[in-house]
Amino acid sequence: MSGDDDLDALAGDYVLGLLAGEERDRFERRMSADPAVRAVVDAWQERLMPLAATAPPMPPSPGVWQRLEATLGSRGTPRQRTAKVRGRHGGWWDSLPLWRGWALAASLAAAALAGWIVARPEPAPGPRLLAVLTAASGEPTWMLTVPGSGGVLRTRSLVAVPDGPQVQELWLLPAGGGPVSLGLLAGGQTVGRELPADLAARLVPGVGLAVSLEPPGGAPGDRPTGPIVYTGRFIEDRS
Amino acid sequence: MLDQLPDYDETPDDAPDPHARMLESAEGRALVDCLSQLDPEPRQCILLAYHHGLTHQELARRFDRPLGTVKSWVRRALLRLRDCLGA
Repeated sequence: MSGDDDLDALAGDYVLGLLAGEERDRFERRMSADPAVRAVVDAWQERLMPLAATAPPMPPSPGVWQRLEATLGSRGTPRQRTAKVRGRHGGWWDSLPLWRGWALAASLAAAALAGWIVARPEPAPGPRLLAVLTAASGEPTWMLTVPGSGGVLRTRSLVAVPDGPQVQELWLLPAGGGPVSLGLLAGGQTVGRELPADLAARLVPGVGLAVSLEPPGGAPGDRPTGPIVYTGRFIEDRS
Repeated sequence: MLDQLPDYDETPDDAPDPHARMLESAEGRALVDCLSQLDPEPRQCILLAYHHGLTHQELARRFDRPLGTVKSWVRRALLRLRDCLGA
């Protein structure tokens, strides 16, 4: 049926990351309003999921990386930054072993995302944000963007996300307060999710981010239970 | 920059096949099988969009084709993938 074909093609474009700007925003609103549309998107996500295991390395553009280094450099290496955080958060970080090196064990998994776009009548204005998360080795692993018009967080993997039972969970590290989960990360295509207003308000330039390895389904509570493998901070994207 | 992107249909003999890992699961094998049934240029469009975030416009430049042609390639390839993979 031609109508179904149009929706299938559009949803496929979305999952491939081919929709952009207003067209993408419009489609995301349709997804949030119509579970049938979301189901079509989910079907594409499943069909293309095997591609996530093969994502080739893709570093950010030199200009972006320079600005990120300028921000990260002033705060020391990722490991040093974590040491400062350890002091501020008391015993929380002490219970997590730090990852040593990029050689991940073969049994790591990419999991389905915890949630897609949810309905939101009026997007709140905010800064455009960008973050590149890095491993302890300095290798870039995830790119996060916040378009600024509403609390949408987009994630894109920069290296292959390994298979296995464990999943990667993203955490916001707001100043003064414990880590807040931003959901599970899936490899490959750019995926957007909309955050509740109070959480979206905490996405600000300079706020810390971390990725931990968790059992399938994510951390059982509201704290990371596995090792932190990647860290980063949001910067304001004025490009 | 567009020249430096891999041509997914031409892998040097000594390089590991980027899609070898897909063959480890039934879903991956089905997707490889269905991707292999596409014409090379539409298949490359899908892989370049997915892995490298190319837009329709950038794909049109890379393949030196009109925007409409590339959009049509991707649309038909997606529908063929859907039908091939079933359900």
